[in-house]
Amino acid sequence: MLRTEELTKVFRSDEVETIALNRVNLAVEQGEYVAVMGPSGCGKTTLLNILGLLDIPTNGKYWFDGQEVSQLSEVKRTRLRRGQIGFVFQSFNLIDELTIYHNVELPLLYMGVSASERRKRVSKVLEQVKITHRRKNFPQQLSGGQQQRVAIARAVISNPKIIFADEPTGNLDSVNGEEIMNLLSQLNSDGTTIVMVTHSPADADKAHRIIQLFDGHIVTENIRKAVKIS
Amino acid sequence: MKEVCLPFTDLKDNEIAEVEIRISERKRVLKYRIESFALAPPEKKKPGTNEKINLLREMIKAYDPDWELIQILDSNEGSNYVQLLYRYKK
Repeated sequence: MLRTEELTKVFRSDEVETIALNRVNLAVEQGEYVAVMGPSGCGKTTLLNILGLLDIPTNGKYWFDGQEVSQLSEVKRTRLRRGQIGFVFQSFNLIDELTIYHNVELPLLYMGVSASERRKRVSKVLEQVKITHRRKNFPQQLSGGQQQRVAIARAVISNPKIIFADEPTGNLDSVNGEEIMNLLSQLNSDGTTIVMVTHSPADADKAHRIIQLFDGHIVTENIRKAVKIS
Repeated sequence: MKEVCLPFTDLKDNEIAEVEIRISERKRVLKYRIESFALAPPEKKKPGTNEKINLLREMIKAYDPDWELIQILDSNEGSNYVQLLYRYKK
């Protein structure tokens, strides 16, 4: 589903050049659940942003679902993201001015889905993450765990092929964190590919494969479970 | 809940932290170890990135297979050492 070849990202300022990713070769199969670990500043989030088409590499190739996308324009990347990719961030990234219902509905509006279909899909996904009773509330009225469940609902509303999660339990206590990890595992069991950046060994344990990054390089991979293709 | 956090003093190199958990009659022993690897000989202050990475890959590959790598820990800025957290597999 994803493949990179010699993927490199360099950040340059006036005086400093930082190589965030250095010739990363990586493949992720459909239905796989991959965790990316490594010390702070090793390039985890940079890798996730490039794989999720939020950023482009400085060098190297990247194939997303068979298409080479490493140098696509912002407009083309946005088009490709819609409906194919879902994101879950550590800080939830919900829009404070919108209700839970409208936060979750937003990706469908961008995709031009009809009002009746939107209602149907939002209701279904809110039920799936057990947050229907809070649909009229605003994000700030919810706990961190509830906000992350909403963020997951928003990520899956467009039935994406893949979800990129960046420290999804980083701002949560262990009970809420466990709930979120169970939700992600359930989505993966239902066929959604997941690539997750985490500092938590317990969260990484849920993945099929753990990739360890260090100074922008993949230093080792550990296959933990077989992938079940549904 | 499957995660238990136990605050204890820092492990020294090659010390093993053993945690025994009993749930009803079931006992489970978990062993953790932190290894510090030097990424350059002491006389060499700043190893090249590729040199560092190759050394780290080799050390991980050659490590006792009864132990699995759990996490590469954050190291101090400019340090030539990297700390790896391992868990006993058996």
